[in-house]
Amino acid sequence: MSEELFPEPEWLSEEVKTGTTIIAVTFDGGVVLGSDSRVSAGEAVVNRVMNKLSPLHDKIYCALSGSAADAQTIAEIVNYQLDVHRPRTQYHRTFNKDVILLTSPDDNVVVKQKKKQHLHEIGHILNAFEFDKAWDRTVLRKIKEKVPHDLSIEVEDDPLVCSAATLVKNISYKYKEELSAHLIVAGWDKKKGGQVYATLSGLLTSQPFAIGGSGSFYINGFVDAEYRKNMTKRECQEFVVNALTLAMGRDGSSGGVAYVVTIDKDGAEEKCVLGNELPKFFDQ
Amino acid sequence: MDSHHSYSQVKGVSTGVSNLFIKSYVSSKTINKLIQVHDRIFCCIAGSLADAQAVTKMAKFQLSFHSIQMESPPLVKAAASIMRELCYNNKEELQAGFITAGWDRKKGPQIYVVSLGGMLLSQPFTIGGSGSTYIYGYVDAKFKPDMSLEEAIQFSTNALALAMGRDNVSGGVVHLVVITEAEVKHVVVPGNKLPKFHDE
Repeated sequence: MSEELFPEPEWLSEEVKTGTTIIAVTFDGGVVLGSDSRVSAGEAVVNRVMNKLSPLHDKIYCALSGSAADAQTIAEIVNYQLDVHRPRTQYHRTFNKDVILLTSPDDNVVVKQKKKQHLHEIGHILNAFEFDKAWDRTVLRKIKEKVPHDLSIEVEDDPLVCSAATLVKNISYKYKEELSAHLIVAGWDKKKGGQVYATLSGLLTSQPFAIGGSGSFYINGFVDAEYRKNMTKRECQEFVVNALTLAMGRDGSSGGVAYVVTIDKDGAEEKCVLGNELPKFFDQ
Repeated sequence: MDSHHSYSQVKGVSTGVSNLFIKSYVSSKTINKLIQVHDRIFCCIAGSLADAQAVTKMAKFQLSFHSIQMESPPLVKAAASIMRELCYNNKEELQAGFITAGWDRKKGPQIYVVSLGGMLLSQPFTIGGSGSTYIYGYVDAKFKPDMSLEEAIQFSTNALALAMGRDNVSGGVVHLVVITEAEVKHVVVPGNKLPKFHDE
């Protein structure tokens, strides 16, 4: 009888989605990422201040959209995997880490040549890697059997944005039937400067700017018209905030505050623009 | 408004048509989706073109009859009202939306939206159709009240070009109609003369 008197609200059983607007834009010397902050479950807003810009490494961030749980999990996994790039003090003495990541040969990966050759031959070095969600123990055992115990690998440099994006793409592609999340990966590295990668459903493409989420449909025209190559940092931040404001004004599942992260060679700077500080456009 | 500076209506549509039954087939690249229902009143159509043509034909007939009875050119609101009656009373069978715009002696230039279910709304500017979702941000940012004629034409052409660049069922040429007290001017902008944006 109590169920009839007090029916459970619909939104308790709806999946939590970040119907969202996310955008990442390159400028001369770095990238700017932006997102709104609304998380909805059906018609209810379950979190109005969520930060959808998640760090993967010091100078690489990703923007989350789609199912909140899927997107957050992918970001956490890739963050863990990129820990192998934490500078100087981490040594991996044996292959008791579940994943192995090496960047391209001309990055400073300190491995003795003979050992590296051996690893290539037995096929366990990949530019990205195979991540097995079910932690297949037989595979791990096989790797441990073949690899000498005294091997240590130390990765000195920061990861390339391309590596981080490839990691995200591998997970998105391999589990594309089960997951429904779209992440935009953006950051700065020494080799190519500021870059933005879109990884929708497992594709990987580098673009001057990328937009995503349900609110992005409404600003396609605006970003096409207003984007310019080689903007300054200030212009780029304004462009991102304008685009987010316009999308939040039209999309019911985007709203709240705007989070903006600027990444350049000196690091990442996070900023939150509150609702009343957002620019105003023509509205009746 | 009878001064020179009343801002005239610029209505534009892009004209790709895809036949619903043959998936993604463009059956005509150059049709004109701006239909004249009276001397200074035009309708933009979107949705099922067969339905839209039937409705506008009916509305044109009723409007001409009405204007003869009144012995004066009809108000834009009257034209929009007739469209709305037709859409609302037949809402189950029809699937077309309209933008009715024009000039009349009483209120000058006006724009009315008649949507799918039969809603009637007056607005300073409006967009519609499948490609319109992509340009909401652009028109919100760029529209200013009291633009000059050249600015209004530029604004419409840019917006249509952006939408055509993103929507796969919009394309072809851009038809613009400029309605003022004095005259009605029809401008066609072919694909190769459209403004280009950063990725083209």
